[in-house]
Amino acid sequence: MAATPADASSSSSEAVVGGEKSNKMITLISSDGESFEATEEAAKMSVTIKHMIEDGCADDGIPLPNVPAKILSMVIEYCNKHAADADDTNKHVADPADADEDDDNNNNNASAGEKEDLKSFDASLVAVDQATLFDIILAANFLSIKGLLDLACQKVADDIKDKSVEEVREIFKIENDFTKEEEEAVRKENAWAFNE
Amino acid sequence: MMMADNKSMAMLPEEMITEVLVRLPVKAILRSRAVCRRWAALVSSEEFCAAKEAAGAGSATEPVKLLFLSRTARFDSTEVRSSDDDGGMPLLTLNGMRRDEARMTSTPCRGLTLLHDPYSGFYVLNAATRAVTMLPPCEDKILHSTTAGLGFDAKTKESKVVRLFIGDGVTPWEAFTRARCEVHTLGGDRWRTISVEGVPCKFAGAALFGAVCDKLAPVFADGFLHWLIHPKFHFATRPAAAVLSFSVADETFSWVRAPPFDWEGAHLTELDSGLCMVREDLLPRASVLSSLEIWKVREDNGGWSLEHRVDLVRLGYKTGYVLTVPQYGRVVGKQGKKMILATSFGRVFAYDLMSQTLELILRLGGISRYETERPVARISLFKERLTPVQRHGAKLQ
Repeated sequence: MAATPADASSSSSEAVVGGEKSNKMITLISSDGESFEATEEAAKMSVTIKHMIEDGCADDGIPLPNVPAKILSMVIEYCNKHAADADDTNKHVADPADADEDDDNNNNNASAGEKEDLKSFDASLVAVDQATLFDIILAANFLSIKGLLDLACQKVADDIKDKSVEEVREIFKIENDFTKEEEEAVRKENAWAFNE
Repeated sequence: MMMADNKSMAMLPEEMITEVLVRLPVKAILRSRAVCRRWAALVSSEEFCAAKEAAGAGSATEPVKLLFLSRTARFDSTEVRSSDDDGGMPLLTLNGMRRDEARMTSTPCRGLTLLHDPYSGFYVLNAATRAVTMLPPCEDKILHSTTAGLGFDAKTKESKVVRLFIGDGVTPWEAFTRARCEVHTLGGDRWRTISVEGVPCKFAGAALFGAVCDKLAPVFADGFLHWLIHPKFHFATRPAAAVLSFSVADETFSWVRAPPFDWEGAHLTELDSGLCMVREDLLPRASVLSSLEIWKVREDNGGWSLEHRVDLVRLGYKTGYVLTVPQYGRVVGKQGKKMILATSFGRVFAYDLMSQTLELILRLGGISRYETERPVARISLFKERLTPVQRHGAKLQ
């Protein structure tokens, strides 16, 4: 697809690189009735929303009865950041004619820097309490946002991997339904995993 | 089991719990079995094992790990070690196993490895979970002349151990030609006899002979356990078949046509789910390796075609390692995109086919410069899978 030159007279359009990236805004409505706006591009990071847009159900705003406002704003923040990153990568690749050696280095540094930036953004997004983290997982699952689900689940996994069995029960609000003998048998079976 | 809570969002449905647990390291997964009954069932399920394996398979930068058997102070005790343990604690210690005579299959079958030594018997081990079990005793008390492999029956989802062993005979040759076969289904309590009548008796004997002499374990590929038929085992001319194959599902024998070369000294391996034969190409009139040729069985007509050649001379120049002498080159298998090569002096490398580079993964100790020992029987790929090790009753110390 041919690259379209940026329209100097338009104040809000970005350089469109051979694609139909519209700047249409999508309205997302949280479970508690709050409305949020997101670019179509960002919203489409959710496969669930993407399908709804394609099926034409998105015109009056998309209600998300499973996602409370607090979580939805975080999800949108994630999508904005990651959609922008994908777009930036395309931009850097798109202008080889403009690149001289300096530019190339700058572009590479920017990419590396942006990657670091993205990583620290991701880390800070999931540096929240357990309950919020679980809510993010549920939302990411419902909205089918693979990257966010990956991120949040990995965070929980990292949080619990060195915890004791009792601590894990506490976190997941699980009651121990083993008999004493059963639990002992399980611990004995893989004894090495229970020793420090 | 799950307590009702005001903050109902603080509980995760099972699907999400799986997503979290599958991202844990093996040690933490094993601990999670003690959390509650549901979690124990969840992580022991085949679906979870498969999901965990899939999650690990994605990482292309995962370092290559090997299992190997190591001596201890006692001659009748063997350590099973991981190549990345830096000399620390072994994965486990098998008492009663003599390392010098121990054999291990070179590629795990769904994470399970088969080991045996002639005096103590057969063991099945999952190196990732460190679970191990001893198989029921065999009727021949001393297991010198036996060869065994571990395979998976995809229909019944069972793992089976298949072994060939010598029959009765006045002379060793007689005993080999009367080779017998037994199968043990993991979790079962005995060995079942399998008739070798359909097989031209020399093939079974030749397979057993080759495996015992060259310490070559059978290779599991495509649902079959494959043994290399020794081309000189009392055959007047080169035999028509080079490989004896046992279908793990049907429990019947078949064979693979001979390749267009003399395969004495060759060995089998499994690469990318296909059976391959590795031939040592020597410099003319010398016992010096020049290359390893990797031949693959063609699915359509059962013939062999040359798939790849590892030029050891060139590779040696490029990497600075001496790979051509003494003459010893074995392809252990493939881990991700890398081919695992065992060479002389106990060195085991990961060979990257794209960049043609070598990475030294393991250096087995205790091998002298002039040793003709074939240490490949003590090395295995380390493929992590949580497959449970079913016990039949006799628990290992």
